[in-house]
Amino acid sequence: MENGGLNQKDLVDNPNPRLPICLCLDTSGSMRGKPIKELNSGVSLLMHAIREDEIAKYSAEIAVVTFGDEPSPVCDFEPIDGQEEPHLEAYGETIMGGGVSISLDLLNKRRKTYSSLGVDYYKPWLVLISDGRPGDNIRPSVGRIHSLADDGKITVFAIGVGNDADMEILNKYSPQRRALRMNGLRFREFFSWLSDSVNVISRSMPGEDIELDTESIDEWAKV
Amino acid sequence: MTLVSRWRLAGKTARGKGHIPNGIPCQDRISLQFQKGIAVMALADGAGSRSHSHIGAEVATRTICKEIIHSFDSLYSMQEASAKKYLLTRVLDNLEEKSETIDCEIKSLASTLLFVAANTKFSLAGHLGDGVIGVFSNGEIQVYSEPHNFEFPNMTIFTTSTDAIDAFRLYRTKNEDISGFVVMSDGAGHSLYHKSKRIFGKAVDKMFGWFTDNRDETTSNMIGNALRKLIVPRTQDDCSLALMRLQFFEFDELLGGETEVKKAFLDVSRIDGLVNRINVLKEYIEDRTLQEIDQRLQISSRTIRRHLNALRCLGISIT
Repeated sequence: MENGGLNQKDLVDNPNPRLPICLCLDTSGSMRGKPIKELNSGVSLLMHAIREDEIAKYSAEIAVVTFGDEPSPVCDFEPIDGQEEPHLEAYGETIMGGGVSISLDLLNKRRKTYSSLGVDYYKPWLVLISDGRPGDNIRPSVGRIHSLADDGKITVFAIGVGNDADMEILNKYSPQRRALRMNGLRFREFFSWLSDSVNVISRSMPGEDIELDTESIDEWAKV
Repeated sequence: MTLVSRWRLAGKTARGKGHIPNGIPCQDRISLQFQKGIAVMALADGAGSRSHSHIGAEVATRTICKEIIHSFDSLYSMQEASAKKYLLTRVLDNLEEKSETIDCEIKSLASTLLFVAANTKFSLAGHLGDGVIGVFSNGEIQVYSEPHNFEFPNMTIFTTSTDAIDAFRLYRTKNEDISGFVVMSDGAGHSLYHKSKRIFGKAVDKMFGWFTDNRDETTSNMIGNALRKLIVPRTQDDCSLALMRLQFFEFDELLGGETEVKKAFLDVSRIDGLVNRINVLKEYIEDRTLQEIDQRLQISSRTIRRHLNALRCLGISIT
């Protein structure tokens, strides 16, 4: 008997571990014009790249939260295959604290869903991109981030766009690694780097020292 | 009524497809040994991308087998904390020695560690890190030791972790109703053990049945084949699995049984070898000396000695 009489029906199906990624994006009025166009292009590139990767597409899940006047979830977590790409528009103030809070709520809710279904998940990611200063009280959301980071329960990437981005504020949101200022409007390069990083995590195994590619950061950031 | 029994051992490792692009060798290791009436199987999964973790896994499995064979009775009866400390310390001492020999940090030799050892009456098992141990009892396979529970799947605990001694689980039990054990790495577990339901797939039961009419070496090769063809394609990780089975026969039942079953139990590949081994076994059961057997059987002394040695090495127990 081939394979000693074993076949696929004798095996079990464990769900693939998930990597939940929340993009928390500044869509305030100052992002009008080329910045929002490049941001849309970058998000589209990220989602496309993940869909095309045979491992990442069963692992990475993306949610998008925007903060202009009214921070709101634009896309909730779902399998990426059927997920629609958001179309982002720029207007209003920069309610960053509100945007980060909603993002953390989404990540927390998704984590609980995974746990209830017995699905393993990698450490969640929060990707925060802003070109300005927050127009609301950010202390509560900064406190939540620090608490999660201290417990090793979140990875934050904080990216400032343009000369008016408040890097000091962004650094408050990123206690594990310094915030980076994007070089021009290199959203596509950034999201390409991010999708490569997703691939590294999706393939990681216990005990691996996960090293994201730091050498190519200077393709999109002022280092 | 005369009962004959022995522990059967089989297992294999297979390199994960995620390691091939980077040229990383298989980092899983298993060690299967039977000496002094003790059967031991040990499995270690080398830590991720650490450069020498396959060497560390080799050291860990060999150390455990050696120490348990040497000290099974005292490890079974001493206080649990002392037994855990003794075993882990021996593993770390040998890892330290190896790190000096090959000039590397001890952390690069990190691995998980799972093992089961048994004589005819008692079992001793240990578990550090992920992977899973199962027990066959009353015709069913159940979880004996679950993977170490971390929030994120790319984290686990290793031999060189600072909290290894606290995380190390040791199990000691009588073999009542137990007919065997399985140990597997998390790579193999992805297809053979349902994590959230905490149950094993049918495949493990089928593999356990391979011992019935296959010798241990053949069963190991069948396990290797199944890992490579069915299980490795479903994960990026290395996959490894080892089985122990306690087989009992009423001696007359064995004699009257199927040829392939007899060959498997007595570990012979040829019919003429089987005939001689059975004849020597009959004399062995009567506790006759080599000289007495020599006089009674029409085969050469050399052949008799060879079969007697084989029966002793197989650890066939007679009650």
